[in-house]
Amino acid sequence: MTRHHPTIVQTYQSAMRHRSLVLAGLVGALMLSILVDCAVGPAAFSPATLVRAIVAPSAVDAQTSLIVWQIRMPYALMAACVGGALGLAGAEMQTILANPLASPFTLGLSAAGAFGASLAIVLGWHVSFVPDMWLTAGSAFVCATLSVWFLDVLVRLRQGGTGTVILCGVALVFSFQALVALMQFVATEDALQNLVFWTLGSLTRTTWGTLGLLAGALGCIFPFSLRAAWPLTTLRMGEDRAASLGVDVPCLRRASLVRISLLCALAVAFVGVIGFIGLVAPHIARRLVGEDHRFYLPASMLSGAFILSLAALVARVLVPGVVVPTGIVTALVGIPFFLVIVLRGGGDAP
Amino acid sequence: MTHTPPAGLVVNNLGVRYGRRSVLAGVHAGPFPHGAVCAVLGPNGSGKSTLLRAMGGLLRATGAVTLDGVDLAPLPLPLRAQHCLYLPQALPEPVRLNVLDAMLAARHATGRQSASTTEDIDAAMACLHDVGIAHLATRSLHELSGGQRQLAGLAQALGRKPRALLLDEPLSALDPYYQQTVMALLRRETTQRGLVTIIVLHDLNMALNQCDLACLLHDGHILAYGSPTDALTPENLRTVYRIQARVDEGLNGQRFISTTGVV
Repeated sequence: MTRHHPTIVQTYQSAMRHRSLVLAGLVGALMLSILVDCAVGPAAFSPATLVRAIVAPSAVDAQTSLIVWQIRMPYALMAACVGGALGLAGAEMQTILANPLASPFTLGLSAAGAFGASLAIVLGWHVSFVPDMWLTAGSAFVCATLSVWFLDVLVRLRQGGTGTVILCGVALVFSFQALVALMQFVATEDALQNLVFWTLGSLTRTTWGTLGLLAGALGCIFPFSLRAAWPLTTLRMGEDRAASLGVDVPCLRRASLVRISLLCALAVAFVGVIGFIGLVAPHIARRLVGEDHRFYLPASMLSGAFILSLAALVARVLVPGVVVPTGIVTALVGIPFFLVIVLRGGGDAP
Repeated sequence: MTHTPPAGLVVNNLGVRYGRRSVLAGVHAGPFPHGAVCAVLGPNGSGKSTLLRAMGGLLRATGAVTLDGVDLAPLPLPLRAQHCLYLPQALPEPVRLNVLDAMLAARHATGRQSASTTEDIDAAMACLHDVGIAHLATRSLHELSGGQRQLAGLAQALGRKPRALLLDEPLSALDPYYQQTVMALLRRETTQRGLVTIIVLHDLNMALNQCDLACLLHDGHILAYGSPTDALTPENLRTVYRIQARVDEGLNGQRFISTTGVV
């Protein structure tokens, strides 16, 4: 039928090209932001030095190489990976729950993670041969994962719709926040210091090990998300409609929950509570490329990565000599960005 | 001796329970033949939607639903949707997705492939052309009117090439223009494609004049099934809807039902 509608098909194809270009643009912006993140700091490098330090570490002096490779690179890359994980998880969450307010933060995953971390820190858990940091991360991971499954079971027992999920999620947020407050109340001075790291969210403790684990998980999960892009797109048009077109909605939703819980739990485990990204990145992606999930999912992941990368940069230059916890900065950086995109798009509901 | 299975869709001893409450029990309906539009009528809460959802496989039900002699019950949902497709009452949500992408998503929803070929786009465009909204292909669903979205939803369903189409109140959210448009479209496609088309309606006159068959549902069982003139009698309407009604014949041969009060 192409011969009957040549212009419409051409318009469609040029729209597809436009969306691909937007994705490419996001990748470019992210790379640039990561590079700037590596260059800026107490010891400022020229772009040439930075490129040389990255491409051929042996060509620059040992100190420069150390700063770039051991401090700034993991920090910058971790920001991008955590942002990407939260962005992707938020996008899937808003689709399967059909609610623009859904995010890892609003459904209690982050709070559960913080509670898990606080358990390990305040109760002073030690296991021989396991560094404390990994133990804390592990505890946060287990709690965040359990909270998602608890939510899933609760909703399945009651046969509730997506509204029930959101309400149960809000209940979880408040419960875990109260529990974290309780842990803070009984914590010792030292443990409290440590705990603040979790509740405010910080990238400064990144190592190549944690970075590798998160990046690996993101790399493994993303293809599965993309493979579910068509059914997820159908789900956006209504749960009944997707089911009537032959999509096994409960199965799709469960698979998506597994991906979301892995991504969020890992992100929370390593860097603590970072809100806002998972909520905002999907909205930005929707404005930029629409809701065809083949583009929407990667766009949300890239937007999340880009915003957190910018936030990480601001966190280091905001107060000279101090790295402000990233969780504080994300909202400050993200909200103007968010408002511009939402208000420019005409102001209608997503 | 050979036994030829009945052509069309047949519902046999169908039962549906919500928890402990039985909504439908022992329903026999049909046969609904190919190439005919059949209206399912009944008051609110009489089990129309439940019947259609159970037939479409969206609800767990006992009994059998056969299409041309093949029992649909044991088929997994994706396969079942290829035979018999249920369209929900809710219009497609106004999301930021253009109509052509919505068509492609419906086409690929149960498949593994991720890229859409030119043939896919051509097939989708042909379907949009049939439904009369080819010019809206690159418009986003959130910019369309309810009627246009309903047509897009129909195009999605027809694009899946089912043999039976079950529509749950497809006209209830539409203005008179789109009610007539959608109805005319359904009649044409039903004849051309030889579909078994079953639609839930509230508009008695639409059922009387524009449908080939009518099926009256009362308290979870079929009270009358046959040509609309035979099924929609004042007595039946009195039993089912608790209304007093008169059937008149107009000058142009059209019949119309006027309600004169409640019982």
